[in-house]
Amino acid sequence: MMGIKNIQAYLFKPVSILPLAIFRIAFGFLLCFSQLRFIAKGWVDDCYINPSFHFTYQYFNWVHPFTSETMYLIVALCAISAFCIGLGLFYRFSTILFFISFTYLELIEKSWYLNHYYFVSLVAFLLIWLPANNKYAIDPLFKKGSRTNMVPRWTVDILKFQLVIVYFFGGIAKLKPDWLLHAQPLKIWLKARTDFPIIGSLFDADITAFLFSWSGTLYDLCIPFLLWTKRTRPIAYILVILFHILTYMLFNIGMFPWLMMAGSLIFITASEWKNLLQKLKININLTPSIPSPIKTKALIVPLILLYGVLQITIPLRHYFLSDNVLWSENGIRFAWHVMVMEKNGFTEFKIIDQNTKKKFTVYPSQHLTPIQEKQMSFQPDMIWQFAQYLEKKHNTDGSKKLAIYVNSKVSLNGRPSQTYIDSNINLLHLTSVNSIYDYIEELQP
Amino acid sequence: MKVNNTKNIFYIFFACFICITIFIACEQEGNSEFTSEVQLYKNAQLSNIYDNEIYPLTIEFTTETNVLVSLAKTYKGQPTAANLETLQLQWKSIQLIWKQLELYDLGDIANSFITFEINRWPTNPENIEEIIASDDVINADYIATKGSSSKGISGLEYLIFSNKNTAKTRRLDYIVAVSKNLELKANQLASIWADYAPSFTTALNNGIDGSQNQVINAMVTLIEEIIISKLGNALGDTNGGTIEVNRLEAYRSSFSKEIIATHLSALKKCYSGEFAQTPFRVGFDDFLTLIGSEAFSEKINTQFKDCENKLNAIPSSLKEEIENNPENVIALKDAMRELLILIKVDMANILGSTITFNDNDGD
Repeated sequence: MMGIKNIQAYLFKPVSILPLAIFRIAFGFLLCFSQLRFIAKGWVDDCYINPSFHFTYQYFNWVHPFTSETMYLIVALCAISAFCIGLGLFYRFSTILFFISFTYLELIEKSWYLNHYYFVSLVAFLLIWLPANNKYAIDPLFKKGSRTNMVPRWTVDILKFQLVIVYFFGGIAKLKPDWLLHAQPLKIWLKARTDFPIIGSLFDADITAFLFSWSGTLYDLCIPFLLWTKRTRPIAYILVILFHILTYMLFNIGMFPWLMMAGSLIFITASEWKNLLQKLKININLTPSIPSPIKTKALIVPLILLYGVLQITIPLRHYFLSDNVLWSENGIRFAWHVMVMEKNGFTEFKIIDQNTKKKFTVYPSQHLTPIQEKQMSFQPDMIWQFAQYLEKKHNTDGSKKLAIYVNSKVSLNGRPSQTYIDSNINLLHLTSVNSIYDYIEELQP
Repeated sequence: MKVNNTKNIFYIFFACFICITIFIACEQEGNSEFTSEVQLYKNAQLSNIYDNEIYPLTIEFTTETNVLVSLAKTYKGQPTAANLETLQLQWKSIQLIWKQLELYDLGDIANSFITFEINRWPTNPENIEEIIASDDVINADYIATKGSSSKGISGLEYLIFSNKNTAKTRRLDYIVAVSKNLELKANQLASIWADYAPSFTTALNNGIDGSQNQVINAMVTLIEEIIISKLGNALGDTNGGTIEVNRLEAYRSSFSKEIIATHLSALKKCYSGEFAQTPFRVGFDDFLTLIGSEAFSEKINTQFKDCENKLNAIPSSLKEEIENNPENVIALKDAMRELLILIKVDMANILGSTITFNDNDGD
């Protein structure tokens, strides 16, 4: 009982709203930019409109795109709601709208899965429940009495926890022989970037790849705790900036570094902000006030615990599903495997009409966009999904008895290409997507 | 106090790291223009591709299309069997040049869609016949307004190789007009390449816009096209295995095999950089050697040889072979697939290249 009381006392201790508000502002404006960038780069067409077939997520097969105009509207609404989050305007409505629209957009197409998109959905979900608009926002100007300087500690710590999960499991994901013992795929990537200013010529040496591999692992495993600890926080945040700027310059990693740099701001406390801003001759009022009473207090602790347990178990599930998650990809999504492999593949499908014995060869490029084709070539569940799609396409009236086989070759982290899925297995005999993982050929060294 | 000490240690360590890095980096830089050996090689490779392959080919293409126009005019003036044969031979010469250039459909050239104008196949005989049957005046200006499937190298093949009576006036007008349009497009292509060459040879970055990536992608695209369209369709890949020789490229001229042989030769030269007897012939094989993958480089060379052997094992035209011994053509397609896997999967993996023109938001 004492333990629960202590936990409650810890979680509900009033702390300054400032870090939460800064996080909200940074997150909102960054995601607004990200969604506008998505439109500007033509990705709405590439991702939602152009494909004639979508790789949906398991249990979310019912999620489909709308017309071109509607999809542009949804992405635009997503950007506007993110902007409103940044402003702290219609906050609750904006966070709900952003979470629903962003998550919907991500669920449409699996080949566009990115770890940081998942991170954004999680944070958006959390923000719905957090009073991040109670100060430094527009909402309190219209709603008297809602302004407060203090919020319960859990509202800040849950975001810190989310950041810890990303970094720590990102580090755990690197504890693999390829990464630590062979410095792969960094050997490949760095050798391709010897044009990098000043230090580029060092990338030719294998030792540099090892240095990057090991220091990257150490960084991921340690940085959340260094950020959480007051004494090491200044150095930790400098490291956050250096690390992410370097990864941004070296790799095609999009918005991820900026999200992590912005997200890590949650660790900086109000007093640290005050000290920093004072150096810039800016004074902020941190006068404590009593946080608004929370009616669902009794539910919060178990809900936080449930969320925490899910966040810890989901990234670990691949250990129960596969011996080598990089090769099988079974459980790799939602597990923070960020930039840990160089993987390329090739697939070609053979359709046999078992009644007429006619054979058809299908090349994925005839049906899929380049990103879809590339991602499917080394992800078994997508190969299975594509076979189901081909079955529907070639058997419109359901009268044919088809068999579909895949010829697939995959190269992982510089290894020679090798057969990926058993080419003798009729993919239509596999009634569930999970069955295909039983037919992945063993990875040869 | 402890915090300050830790901070100081960090700053000192960081400053030392930067200094050492700059020092080592400067020491290793032998060439002031390029930051690394890889960059130097990349520039040499891209210059080699342009100077020794693309540039001479574009010039040759303009010259030969000019000859084509003269021969077309001669044939129009004297529609004899001998003049038709001369014209057909010239068409074949042009195909042999174009099939090397076709590989380099990238950057500004791809954006201009000029390759469609030069050679879009299959051609549309119905459209061509409709134009011939109409009352419109057929000349170069008129042909310029028509769709790419009614003109270009493929359209000309239909006009001079199909068993129609070529000696009719309007058909002769069409032949001259298409030839002139081809000459115009050849000049435009040379001009686009001349403008684009400086960007092409200096885009050394590793991203999707980098020229080396674009060349790899162009190689992949061409090999896929050979497998899917130039062999697979005719072998019945899409219809349940029924042979369809009229889905071969240039089946009317029975020139399909030569086209694939030329593609293969162009791909091999592109891989090895062996375009001309210049001293510094950098190709992808040199890159693989540079990063310690000589054995893999040799594997690709062996696969090129295998493809050539499979092609040489086809004694007659591709059209005849598909009809009589499709297994030989299937063997060629299989060999091409192995080549595709080596380049698209293995080479891209080793070089860390971005295969397929896609761009997304990270990992």
